[in-house]
Amino acid sequence: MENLIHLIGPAFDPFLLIILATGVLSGILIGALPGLTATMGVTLLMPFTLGMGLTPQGSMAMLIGIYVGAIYGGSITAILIATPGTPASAATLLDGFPLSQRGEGGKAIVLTTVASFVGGMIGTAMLVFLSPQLSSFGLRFSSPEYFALAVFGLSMIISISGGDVVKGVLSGLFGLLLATIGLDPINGTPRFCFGVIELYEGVGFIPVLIGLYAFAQVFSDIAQKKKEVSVAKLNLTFPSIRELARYWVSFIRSGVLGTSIGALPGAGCDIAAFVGYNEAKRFSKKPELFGKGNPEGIISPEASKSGATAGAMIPMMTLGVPGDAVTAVMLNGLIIQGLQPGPLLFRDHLDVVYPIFIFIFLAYFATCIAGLSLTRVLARIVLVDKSILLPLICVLSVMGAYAIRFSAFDVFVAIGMGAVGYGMRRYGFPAAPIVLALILGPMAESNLRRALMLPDAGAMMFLTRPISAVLLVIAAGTVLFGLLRTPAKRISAE
Amino acid sequence: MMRTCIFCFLLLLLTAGCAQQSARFPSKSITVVVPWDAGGGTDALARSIANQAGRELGQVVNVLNRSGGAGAIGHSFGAAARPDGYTVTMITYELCTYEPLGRVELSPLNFKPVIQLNEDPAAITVHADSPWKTLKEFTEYARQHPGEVTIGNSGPGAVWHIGALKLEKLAGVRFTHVPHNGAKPAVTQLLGKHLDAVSVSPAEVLQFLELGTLRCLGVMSEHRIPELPDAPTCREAGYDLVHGTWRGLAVPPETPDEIVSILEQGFKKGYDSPDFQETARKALLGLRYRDSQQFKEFLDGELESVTELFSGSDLIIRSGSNVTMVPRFYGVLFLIFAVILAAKAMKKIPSSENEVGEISSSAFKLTLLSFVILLAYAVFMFVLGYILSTILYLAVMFYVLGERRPLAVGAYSVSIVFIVYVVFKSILDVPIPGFWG
Repeated sequence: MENLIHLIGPAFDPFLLIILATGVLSGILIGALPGLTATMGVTLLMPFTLGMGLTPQGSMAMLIGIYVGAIYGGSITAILIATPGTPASAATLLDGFPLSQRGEGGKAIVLTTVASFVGGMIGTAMLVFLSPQLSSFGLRFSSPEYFALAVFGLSMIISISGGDVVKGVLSGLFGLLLATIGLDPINGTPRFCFGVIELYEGVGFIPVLIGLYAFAQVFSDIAQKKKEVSVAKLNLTFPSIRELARYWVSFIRSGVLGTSIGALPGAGCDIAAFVGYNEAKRFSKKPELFGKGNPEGIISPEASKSGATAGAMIPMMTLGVPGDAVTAVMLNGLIIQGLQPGPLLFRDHLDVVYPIFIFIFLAYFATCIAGLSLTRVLARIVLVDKSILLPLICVLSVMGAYAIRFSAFDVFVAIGMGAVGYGMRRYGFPAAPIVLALILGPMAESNLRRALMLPDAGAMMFLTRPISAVLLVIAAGTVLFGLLRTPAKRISAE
Repeated sequence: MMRTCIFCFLLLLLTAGCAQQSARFPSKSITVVVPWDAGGGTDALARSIANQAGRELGQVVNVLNRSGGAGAIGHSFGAAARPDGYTVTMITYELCTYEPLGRVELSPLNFKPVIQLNEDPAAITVHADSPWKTLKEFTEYARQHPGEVTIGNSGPGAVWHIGALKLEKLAGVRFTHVPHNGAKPAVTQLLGKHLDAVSVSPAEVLQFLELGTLRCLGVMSEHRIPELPDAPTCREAGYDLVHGTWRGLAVPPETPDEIVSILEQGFKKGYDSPDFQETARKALLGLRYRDSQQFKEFLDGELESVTELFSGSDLIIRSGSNVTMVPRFYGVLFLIFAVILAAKAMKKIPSSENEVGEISSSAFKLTLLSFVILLAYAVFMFVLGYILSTILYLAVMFYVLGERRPLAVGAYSVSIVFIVYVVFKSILDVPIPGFWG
């Protein structure tokens, strides 16, 4: 016990706590700006932490703060201006934006904040107590399992399609086709690149996201001469604790699911958020309310992606392999400081391991406090005069698209996708399936082809391996469920 | 007369400035282009040498990540830079592979080498529970079971993949090469026993070797490496195979030799500094110094070796399945669903199709106009520079959308540009063209 206090004590050093708080605040800002993702925030600030001569604990405090803050911050803009700051927030947008359009942006942000906190707590608890189990579960995933996971993820297109399933599937297929551009993942042959080397790594995910959401929203606001929400409509009352407690099942289910998905090497917050949304809808008694500002549609993806943030730390710390793109950068940060995350870290460096646990816990705490205290200010963004707000969103989005890899090409991709996104909106094609397809398309293809290369390959392989069989059955269930529920929903809508 | 005088004077100043500039290089900050993402090994190497070399050269040395296209974007950016020595590129092994793999017309011949800093060998590693204790046993098994032994690598055509291909050729066996998205995912698959072996750098597997979870059968270096005194080299194991990645600095070929030698001296001093040596050791980056001339000879040899490996063989192509299978499948599905949609649309009354609601033609024109203005803004940003084009864009858009009070338009646009510029350029270090492209 004394030993434990000895190890944990240094984590509460005021200097480290200030660094952590700074990280969380800048993370929220980075996450909220379109185009600046958690990955980019961590990448940009890592050299900075090294330059400041921080200890490994200090730089982890900073990076964890940014990570947790940015993943949370992405939802604020998703809710208020329909622009997901990070890809993971595209799921929160589905119900968050409709709610804020009704003048209840404040409520939406509170739901997000609380869900992010609860999900984070569940994730932290699982990280501290179940790391070995989750990481050995992750090791059972090989190409067939990842392929099945991707198929399951793609089956969710049905449930996030909104009104028309056919249009949703078409959007999804468009996204999948877009995802095949670039060097193919197995042979490295250029596909659909037309000799443009900017396309070798594929069409940039972030520029597409900026186009489909930020620019498309700006164009359709202009086309519909949409005005800002009037002050009279703005409702800033917070939901009561009792109201929040009603959703306890969603909180816990999403938190646990999200953490488990985050713990898989190579599957991160974005997939977790969509799975959280999908499962909430599957278990809901009134799935037709989703997409129209349902609180459960905000809580579930949010708790899930927040759990996944903590979950992604599990393979990084126990195996030394990143859980997602952000932890990949963190991992390198630790290596540069002379620490090898992985089994040896737990043997030799508990003085780093325990503070990391504490920092994750405190980061969610700080995010929650910051979020709740900023809610009333942030919720007023919807009141800003559109003729000022829309050009500002465009300027920030152009910068965001450029800043990912300093490429002018990406700026034009974003603007082009803005036109495409506007056209899709006008004819009722949903954008979320494209996001899902861009996340999962490369995962599905590379793992399918990798699985088929294995010496004992065959179509039956996907059904005889237990994990992949279960995932494929759930996927089939999602499709059937979606198709059976949709007609009923259309009748009730008419 | 007056004008001619001023003109001559300015010309004189300009030439004087230029002369002075070349007289004492470097007179301004130097940029090291890294063709890979921040946070990786190449980036770590660049940042640690930049700090030290900056001190020696008496100028700030910045690091600029231009990633994408499997490194091709950064490499071609560096090769096309102004040959004045102020843009130096951290070239990596992949530079030798673009032409042999038929991807991009880009090779070490597009550069003048300055200094080599690092070299890391490839290594063949298997799970400790596997039956193979030596490299010979492993290749013998592969000979008896052609195509059944799976060997993971970090990506198609990447340096570690090529290492496994060289071993295959030398031992006369056939492996199934399984590419992953990076070395770490491949190692994870080996830990889960989904692969028989991996070909990656020793640093990626070091701690698992130490713990006894994995076993290293052969390191493709000339001598045993200090971190792994127990792991035999491939030569000891019976295969004359030395292969690995390297990183070094290079400038465009037209750069004057005096400047190259100033850079070489500066970076050499940085390389020798205890700080750099310590950082590299901690980050498990193998150190290897070659001067400009030696580096050039080495690069020529590497290019030749990779070209020879791929000429007239179908090594890469053989390893994978059909490249167009998946996109074709998506395409067919897309067409089927498009037909369903069309059929549905014909059954329904066309007007119910428009879910967003009718918009007037004047509103549509306004939308089109704002799209064109946005496009023009993006073009002008790279010609006129960021500040001017953004102020113009904001002012025009405010006007178009109905905010027409001159004072408000001016105040909003200038303050927005100021804040965005400070945040991105100064704090986040995004290289945006300030005033003129």
